[in-house]
Amino acid sequence: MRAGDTIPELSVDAATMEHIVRWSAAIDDYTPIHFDPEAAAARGMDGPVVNGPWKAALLARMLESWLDGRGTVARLDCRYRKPDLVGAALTFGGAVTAVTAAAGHDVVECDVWVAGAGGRTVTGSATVHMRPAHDGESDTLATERLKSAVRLGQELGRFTYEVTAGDIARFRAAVGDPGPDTVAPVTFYAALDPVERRDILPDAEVLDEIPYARTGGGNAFNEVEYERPIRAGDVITVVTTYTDVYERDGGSGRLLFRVRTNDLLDAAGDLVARTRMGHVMAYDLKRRARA
Amino acid sequence: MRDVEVGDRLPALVKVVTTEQLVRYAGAANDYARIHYDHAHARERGFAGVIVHGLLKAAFLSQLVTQWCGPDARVRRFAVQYRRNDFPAQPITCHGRVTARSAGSVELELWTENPERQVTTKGTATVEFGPDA
Repeated sequence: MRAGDTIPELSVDAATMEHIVRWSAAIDDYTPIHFDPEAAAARGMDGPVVNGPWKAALLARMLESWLDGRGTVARLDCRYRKPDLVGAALTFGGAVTAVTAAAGHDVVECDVWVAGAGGRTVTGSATVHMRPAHDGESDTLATERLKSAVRLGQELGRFTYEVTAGDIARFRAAVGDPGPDTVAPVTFYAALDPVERRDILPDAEVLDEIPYARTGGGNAFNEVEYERPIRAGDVITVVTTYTDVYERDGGSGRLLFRVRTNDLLDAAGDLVARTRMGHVMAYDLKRRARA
Repeated sequence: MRDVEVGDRLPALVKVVTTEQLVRYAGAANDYARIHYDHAHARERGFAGVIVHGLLKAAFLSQLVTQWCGPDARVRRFAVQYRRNDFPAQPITCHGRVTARSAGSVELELWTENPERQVTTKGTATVEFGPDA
């Protein structure tokens, strides 16, 4: 992939009235110039005209066909230069203008266009994120890119959660551990983990790009050290930092470990507890991931 | 505390998890990983069915500890490693043993076993006792 590469064209023999009516219905846009010849004539058109965003949608489809699962369309900007009449034959094309490396993927900039009977009727640009074709042998599971995505060794973020008596009661009921709803049980820290809560998923995109079949995995270990118990009424700020990302061979394949710490601070900023959360995923390097 | 000796066993705690409990735990812990409640997803991943959250087993082991040490003691440190999966309806037996003691605290070794007596979770804990314990 490099600047100057052309994107395989997509051709539409005719942008039919059915295309346009279906599109109008899908986006709830019933501007009559797209299907009413008289309304189009009143605006000086030779007939009903194709919706600009429909052409943009086909440009996106062209990009996705070209990527074929190797990446994602991050941005698409279009300028509608001239109308196309319903019934026109249209060609959708583009070319790569620049490729730069980023954490976890290449950023590929493209020019895109739509050509009708009167030349280019839409011009625009797009950014796609494409995963590299190869990983180095020492880094089979994108470990270096994961380290960058999780900002290894640096604070990743802070998340504040209020702990209510109801939260504690619900947790106690769920685990079957009767006790006061004023004091949280030992593993309540699990409910205050920004990653399990999906409040931050720093490496989801890089993980999605690992090309091998995943064969297992889950939490590997959890540790906590308390300065004091968590109590109802606490407003806890969780400071998350990834401390380790590494891979090694194991019984169920190539193993990818990610370890993070959470510092749980109270409203005064005092440390309540520190947790370490270890997660492992196993991959079969001889099998490709399903698309 | 004065009665505790190295080698003492904690009274075993047996838990039988239902899928309803897994859903309740997912809600209480804000952990919505599908492997714990979506049977089709679990089968796609090669399991016979949904699996028990590791952290729910950790919660069982912590309950084993707190029931044993009582409300006046404090769990200072608690660590678990997950070795095997557990499944709903298959009893999970929680065990513990005292491995060391000092003036104000004891060290515990903890583990869960499945019905085949295989160790599915291993852990350690440090429990601190107050001066009167």
